[in-house]
This record gives sequence, C-alpha cells and structure tokens, in this order.
Amino acid sequence: MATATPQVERRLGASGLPFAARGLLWGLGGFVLGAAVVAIIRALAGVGAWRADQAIVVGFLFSVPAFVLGVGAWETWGRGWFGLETYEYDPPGWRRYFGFNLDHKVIGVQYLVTFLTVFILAGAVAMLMRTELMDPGRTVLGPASFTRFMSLHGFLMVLVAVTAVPGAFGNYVMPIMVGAEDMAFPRLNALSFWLWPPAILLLLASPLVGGWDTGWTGYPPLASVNNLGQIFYALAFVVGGLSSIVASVNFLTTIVKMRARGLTWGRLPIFVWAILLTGVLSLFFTQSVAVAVTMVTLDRIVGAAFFEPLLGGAPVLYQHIFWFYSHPAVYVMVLPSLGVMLEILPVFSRKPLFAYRWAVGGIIGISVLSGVVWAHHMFTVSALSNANAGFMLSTEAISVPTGLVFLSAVGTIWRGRLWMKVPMLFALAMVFNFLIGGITGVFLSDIPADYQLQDTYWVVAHFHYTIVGAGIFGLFAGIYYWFPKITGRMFDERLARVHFWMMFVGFNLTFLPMFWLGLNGMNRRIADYQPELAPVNLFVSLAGFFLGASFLVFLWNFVVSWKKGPPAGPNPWGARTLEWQTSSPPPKLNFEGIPEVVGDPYDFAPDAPRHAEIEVGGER
Amino acid sequence: MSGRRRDLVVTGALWVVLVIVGVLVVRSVDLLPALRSEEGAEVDLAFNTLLLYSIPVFAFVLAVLLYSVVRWRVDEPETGDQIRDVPAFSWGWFLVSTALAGLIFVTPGLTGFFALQSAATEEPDLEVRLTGVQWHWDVEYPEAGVALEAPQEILLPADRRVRFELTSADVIHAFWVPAFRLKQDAIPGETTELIVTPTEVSSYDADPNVRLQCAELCGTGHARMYVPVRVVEPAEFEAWLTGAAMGMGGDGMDMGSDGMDMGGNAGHDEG
Amino acid sequence: MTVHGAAHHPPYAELHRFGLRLFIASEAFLFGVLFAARFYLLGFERAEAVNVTLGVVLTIILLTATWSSHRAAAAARAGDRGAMQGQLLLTMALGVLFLALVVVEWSAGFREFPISTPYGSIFYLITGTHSLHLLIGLFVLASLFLQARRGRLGEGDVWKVEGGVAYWQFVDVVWLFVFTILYVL
Repeated sequence: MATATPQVERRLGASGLPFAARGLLWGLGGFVLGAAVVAIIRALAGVGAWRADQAIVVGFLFSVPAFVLGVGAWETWGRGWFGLETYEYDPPGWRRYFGFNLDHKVIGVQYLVTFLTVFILAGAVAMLMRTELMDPGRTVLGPASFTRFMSLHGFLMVLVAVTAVPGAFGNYVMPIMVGAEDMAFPRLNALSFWLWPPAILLLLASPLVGGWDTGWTGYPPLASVNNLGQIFYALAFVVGGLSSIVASVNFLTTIVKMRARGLTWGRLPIFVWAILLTGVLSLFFTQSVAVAVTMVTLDRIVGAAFFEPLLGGAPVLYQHIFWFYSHPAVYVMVLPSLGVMLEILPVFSRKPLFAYRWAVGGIIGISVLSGVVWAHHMFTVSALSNANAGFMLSTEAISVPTGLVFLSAVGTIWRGRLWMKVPMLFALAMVFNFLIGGITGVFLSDIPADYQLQDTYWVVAHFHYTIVGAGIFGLFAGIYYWFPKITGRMFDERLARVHFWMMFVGFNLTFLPMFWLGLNGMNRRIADYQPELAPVNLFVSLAGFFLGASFLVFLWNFVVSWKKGPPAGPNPWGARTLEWQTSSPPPKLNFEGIPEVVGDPYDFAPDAPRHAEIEVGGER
Repeated sequence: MSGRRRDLVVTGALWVVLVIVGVLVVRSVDLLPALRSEEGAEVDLAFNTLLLYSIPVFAFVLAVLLYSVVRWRVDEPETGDQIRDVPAFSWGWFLVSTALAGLIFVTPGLTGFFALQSAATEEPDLEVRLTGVQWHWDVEYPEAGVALEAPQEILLPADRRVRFELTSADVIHAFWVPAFRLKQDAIPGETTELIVTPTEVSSYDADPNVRLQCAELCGTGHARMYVPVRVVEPAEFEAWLTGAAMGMGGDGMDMGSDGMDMGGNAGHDEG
Repeated sequence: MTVHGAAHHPPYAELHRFGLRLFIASEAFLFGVLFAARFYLLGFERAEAVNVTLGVVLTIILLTATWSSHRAAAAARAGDRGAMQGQLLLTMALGVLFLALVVVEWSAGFREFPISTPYGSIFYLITGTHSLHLLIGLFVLASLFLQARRGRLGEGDVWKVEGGVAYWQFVDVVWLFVFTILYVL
C-alpha cells in the first residue's frame, strides 16, 4: 500500500484479457462458488441441495468481490492484504476506462458514461410504458409486463438520480475545485465505481426471472411473495448502497482534509458544499435501506417473520426503515444538481453568487431536516394519527431552507449580465422546474390535501419535476458546463440548443398534465385507467416521446463532439473556480504546481484578485 | 425614474399581472373533479387554499426570471453588478418564507387535520368492512349480516355517516374513492378505519370517480382493482340490504359474486 | 502512482483516521436502525429461552479481545513487532472462539426461537450482522498479521494497525449494545 511499493505499471499486452472481461469471469466464478457453498450447506442439513433464491443471493454476494478483484483490484489492492507487492493499473488510451483505475478523472468519466447509458435504457423503458398508456385497455404490454417495466424504470432511474451527478462531477470536478491532486482514497474511489456494474447487470438481467412488481419502493408483503426479480432488486440496492457509503467517506475526507491552502469554508465553491452535504446524507442514511431490503430478503429466503403478519411481523416497519433512507435520498438526488445550478448561474451572470451564506445555510438546513420527515410518505398508513401532524410540520419547515436556494438563484441573476450559453439555459430551466416541483410538494405535505393526492399521478408529476426537472436537468447542465473541461473539446452549440429546447418543452408538456390526471382519479403505477382520462394520457404520451427524442440529439452531439469537437481551451466560460485554472483535460495530478486560494470564487469584478494562484515549479 | 427603480417597478408590475393571470387560470380550469362526500370538503378547502397561496410565490420567482432574462441578456460576456447580498432582502425572504410555512402548517394543515379528526369521532350510522384481496374487494355489512365476495358494485346510502373498517387478506391495498377524496391503506394483520358521508345519489356510470379504487401498488391486477360505488337514497339502501340479508340466509352469497371480471382479476391475462 | 504528501496535504495517516471515523459513524447508524427495528417489532419483550450465561461468556471474550487489540496497537506504536504479532494472534483467536460460540448458540436457538418468529428474526439478524462485522475485523487483523510477518509494516505504518484495531474495538463496543438489548432487556 503506501509503503515502499515500487511503481510497476502493469500493461496488459495483446495476450492478456482486458480487466473488465477478467472481472466478469472471476465474478462468474464467485457466483458458482457462492451457490456451491449454499448447496453444500443445504445438502449437509439434508434439505435438498438446490434452492434458487438462496443460491442467487449468496452467489451474488460472492461474485461482487470476485468481480471487483478481477477488474484489477487484486493487483492494485488485494495483493497488499497478503503482504505482496501491488501494482497500479494505468494503461494509455481507452483501456484505462476498463479496469480498476485510481485516477479520479478516469473514475468520473466511468461514472458519467455508465449512468448515461443506464439513463438512456431506463428512458427507453419509459417510452414503452407511455406506449402502453397511450390509450386505455391493453396496448402493447399487458398489466404484468407493465408493472415490471414500471418497477425497472423507477429503480434504474433512482440509481441514476442518486449517482450520476455526484459520481461524475463529484469525482471529476470536485477534487480539482478544492485544489487536490486526487481524492483522499483513490482505491476506495475505484471500488465505489466498480461495485456498480454487477448491480446494474443484475438489474438488467432481472426480466429473465420475471422482474419484480413493487416499483422502486419494494413494499412487503407484496415484495415477500413477488417474483425472484425482487431479490435482484434487493441485492442491487445493497451493493449500490455500499458504493454510496464508500464514496461518501471519500468525498467527505477529501473536502474536509484536502482543500488547497487558503480555501477556507467561506470560499468553498457552492457545488463542493452540495457534495459535502450529499456525502453526509448518504453516509448515514444509506445503511437503513440496506437493512430494509435485507429484512425482506430474509423473509423470502429463510422464512423470517419481519414483515409477515401471519407470523407476527409488521409490514409497516418496512416503510419506516425504507423512507428513513429514501427521503434523505431524494435530497441526495437534487442537492448536487442544485449545487451545479448555483455554480453555473454566477459564471454566466458574471456576478457573485447572491447571499452565499444563506445558500450554504439552505443546503445544510435541507440536509438536517431531511432526516426527520420520512413519515410524510406514509400519511395514509394511518391517516388521522397525531404523529402525522409532526411530520407535516417538519416537511413544511423544509420549504424554508429550500427557499434559500431560490433566494440565491434569483438574487444572482438579478442585475447580472445573462450570457445565455447552454449550461445557463439548463440552470435557468432548473429554477423554473424546481419551483413547480417544490410548490406541488407542499400540497403533498398537507395532510388533508394528501388524502386525495397520495399515490396518484400528482405524486408522479411532483417527483418528476424535482428529480428530473432539477436532478436530471442539473446532470445535463453539468455535462454541458464541464464537457470542455473533461474532453478538452467544445460541443456543437446549435445541437445543444436544440436538445435543450426539446427537453425543456417536452418535459413540461409531459409532466404538467399529470397533475391534472392525479387530481382526476388516476392513481400511480397502473397499466390501465378510466376511459375518460384517455385524451390527456394520449397527449402525455406524445409529449413523452418528444422528450425521449431530445436525448437522441444529445447523444449524437455528445459522441461526435467528444471525438471531433474544436479544442475548447482551459477556460471557455471565463469561470474563476480552480478546475478552470488548469488545462483541459487537466494533467494527471490536476495542476502544474501547487494551487493556493487567495480570493473569492465568484468575484467577477474586473479588478478582483484571482480565486487562486498556482505556484509552478515548487514541487516537481 | 432611475434604472434601478424602473427594474423594480416593472418586475413588480409583472408579478401583479402574473398573479392575476394565475388566479384567472385557476378559476377557469376545473382542477378538482366533482366532490361527493362531506369530509372531502376539508380536502378541497385545503387544496384550494394552498393553490391560492402558491400563485403569488410562483409568480414572484417567475417574474424575476422572465424580467432578468429579457432585460439583462447579453451576447458576449460582460461584467454584472457586483451585488453579494442585500441583507434586508435576504432576511425579508427568510422571514416571509418562514411565516408562509408556519401559516400553511396552521391552516389549511392543522385546521383541516383537526376537522377530519373530529369528524371521525362522531358515531357512524353504518359499518362496512372492506377486505382487499389480490385483486378485488370483499365487502361486509356486519349489522345486517351481509357478506359479499368480490361484488360487482358497492352500495352506500346517501347522507349517512359510513365507517369503513379496512383490512387486507394478502398485501397492502388502499381505499380510495376519488369523488370522496379520502384515502386509507388496508394493511394485512391490522384494521384501519375511515369515515365518510356520501352527500348525494351518484353512480360510477355517471361519474367514473365514484369507484373504490385500490391506491397502493398490489401487483399485476392493481390498475383494475376497482369496483363501482353506487350511492342511493337511504330507503332504497335499506331495502336492498334487507333483500341481501335474506339472500344470505339461503345458499349463501351469490349476491353479485360473479363480479370478478369487472373489478377483479384483471391481471390473469398474462403470466 | 499518485504521490501524496505534497506540501498542502495532510499525511495519509490523518486522512485514514478521519475516513475510518466516518465509516464507523455510518456503521453505528446501521446498528442503530437494527436496534430501533427490534423495539418496534418486539417492544420490551425478550425470549425467555435466550441463553444469558452464554451471552455473558461472549461479552467477556470480546472485552478480553478489546484489551488484547489495544495491547497490539500499543506494541505497534512502541515498535515492538513481536509483541504486536502476538497480541494480534491472541485477539484473532478470541474472535474465532466467539464465532464458534455464536454457532453453538444459534443451533440451540433454532429450536427455542426459530427464525420464523419475530424474536428469532430480530435475534439472528442482529447477531448475524454483528458476527459478519466481526468476520471482517478478523480479516483485517489477519491481513495486518500477514503483512507484519512479511516485513511489510514499517515505521510509518503504525496507523494501519491502529485503524484495524479501532475497527475491531468498534465491533466489540457494538456487542455491548447487542448484549444489552437482546439478553438483558
């Protein structure tokens, strides 16, 4: 490890397997081994060697570490556990992305590409769902497939929303923003990424066993009697959760301990603040969802009694544990994107971030309060119990810190000079979308109104306005903003504008009518609805297809510009934060010298001191 | 008028216009469907009050956005006014938003919540037991000794306070009659309750929102786990209930038990 | 290899200590949720069949292991590699003994309070999760032992031993809570 390990670059020649392929092979071996362990134990206990669900659970839990070791963690890390020499995996070119690479910039790109792929796949599933919902009755899917595709769409998108922005930009940009050479724990960082491929592959394979029916929330007892796919869901959640925890340890340590000299808390870019608080939320609350899905899995595979009412269990307990994580998780989904938004607005207004301290206070306030609001998802469990009033209070209180984010956003653009480049368009659209998402959330927090709105399309519209309207718009804002930094090339501005307008218009046309649908008797997660709702549903579907088409424009632009875009230069936007004070893409250790922060990140006055000086030649 | 003042005045005017437009739009579009229960009035009141409050909030941010984009748009980067904070404005924003949050918590939040709670403590006129089963509802009128398995429709008397006792035979379901507004989960191993007073004679045929719809995802047949509700005059209801009770005396419950393909079991068309 | 220790970075040991503390805080949340679930599901009920004597024995074993792991860290700080290896071995032996007794306890428990009862479910989930963490701790200690044997732990690596020991002691402390809420209450 950090001892006198000589640096030996292990380049896999033509003879060697790419590490990703070896990982799959080892993962398969791990699976067989785990399944065999189960079979042996069962045979010894005399209950018949084979039981699919148990074999899958244990097999998968064996296959994940085997996979991670196989993609290169063995050479880079595992050998060290046994006192053997370790080697770093750092081949040139595209190969570096297919192994256990320790460079945070490589890992950021791995996250970005992986979760864009998942986003496109889960979006395609949404297209299928909207095709089914174009008219009442059976169109293409039938209720069983619909429910399963709905579950798959929901869960994959939740993973994208939780992971994409912190994974891609938290990894790529944040360490540069704080002036560090890398994350605090490069190996843990690589681990946090490489835990994802097994989880995602497992989910993509879940239709083979019939998928699962419970949506992304996985409520028992339905989850206890459901298809085998439910176990895939649980395993993916546990492994993905472990990745989140590992990643947040890394984020927090990096931000707290590795900031450049002079980068005081009051000078910290707002995106870094957002990642910091996101890290706090993931670090603590993710454990809880792992407990929830593990308990369901135990109910299923060893006959435990947690949520089985006939055995004395309590199904509602699941919802408490689940939402204890999953409400903070929705802030994990939006905080990083709000950070991106507040990062972009000052740059393209050429104005300081308005009310910086209030904005930071808002982000902290949201995070603190997010831990005490979970039961507002459960108002209808026992609609008139007094405890609900407390959760109504805490939930409505969260609108105050959320409002501070808006204060900062509108204060920043006021009297700015709005340079309407594509990242700015996305950031402004986020203000609009998130405003609708926030306001409609207040209706849900109100117990009487929630009586009608709970579990309807109002909820569907509301969370798409927050998670897509802010979270995913923030992802794309970040992609366009940092694309020149990551690739060194500029994207096609015209196509990017086409993408923006298609996405913005398509998004609003798709989700705005859903509020009306929810009020008028359309409950969520249904394959079929009352014929009276057909015209609006048809409209929503068509708008949804338009929204879907916008990502084809994006993909084309993304791929072509990455390969052939014109060179972007180190700082095409004229931004001040540290990632723009180095080349595009940055060198291996991010800077040609040691950065020292001497000024404010958002001071755009012509005579302002720079945000940071980079002392060249001091060290290397 | 200085430029700075003009910006404020125009934005303020825009805000007022947007608020007026918002109110007009909300007034002209019928957002909520017809209401057919007494208790649901609290729900609608809460919804409409929140809608009213939300218009100026939404309009304010929108006005600033729109005005800024039009007024300060530039084609080449240019330095903006270096304003870091306007403490009076930020404090005002904070205090107003805190006051708003407090206001909506008290009313319509707490007031509506307490009204619903006190309505639920009054003596009911009729008890109905509902059991959610994948994927239909079983209905029981215990006082009359009538139990119906997967009925084709559920009869309720108008202007009578009905107490539903909800439970489930398998997974979690939820009671929801959109025209009544109220929603309550039906949880296996537990009994939950809900009190509703239908206000007028109505039926599913006239208004599809007069249906008992399962509102908690319960598997394949969830979408079609609904059963039409028919609200009739109390006398008609009594007559029907008596008849149904007599029918129970004979060879048991055939009352509407062939309703399986109406609400229930829609999910069997696919493995 | 990324060169840490450029002027403005704190030493790796400090990063490691901080990160480990965060991870332990996260793990504490995990057990907190499990303990909360126990009270939600069972109230203050306790299975009469639970073997309190065995619980006390298990507690004593882990307390002893806490002490020996502490001695191992102290020896590492003092640069006494032999003593450190000895204490690590002792700690691991106690850990293995603990796990063996858990197996004994479980096989008796399956008859008294099977997993298909709420008490059984909670009991096996909590003790199982704890044992899994203990297993991870054992792996870490074994790794440290191996590295020390092969001469790969130098002067600058004291923090590694301290880290492994800190994690081990956290798992021991968790046991005290487990013991309290499953055996005593």
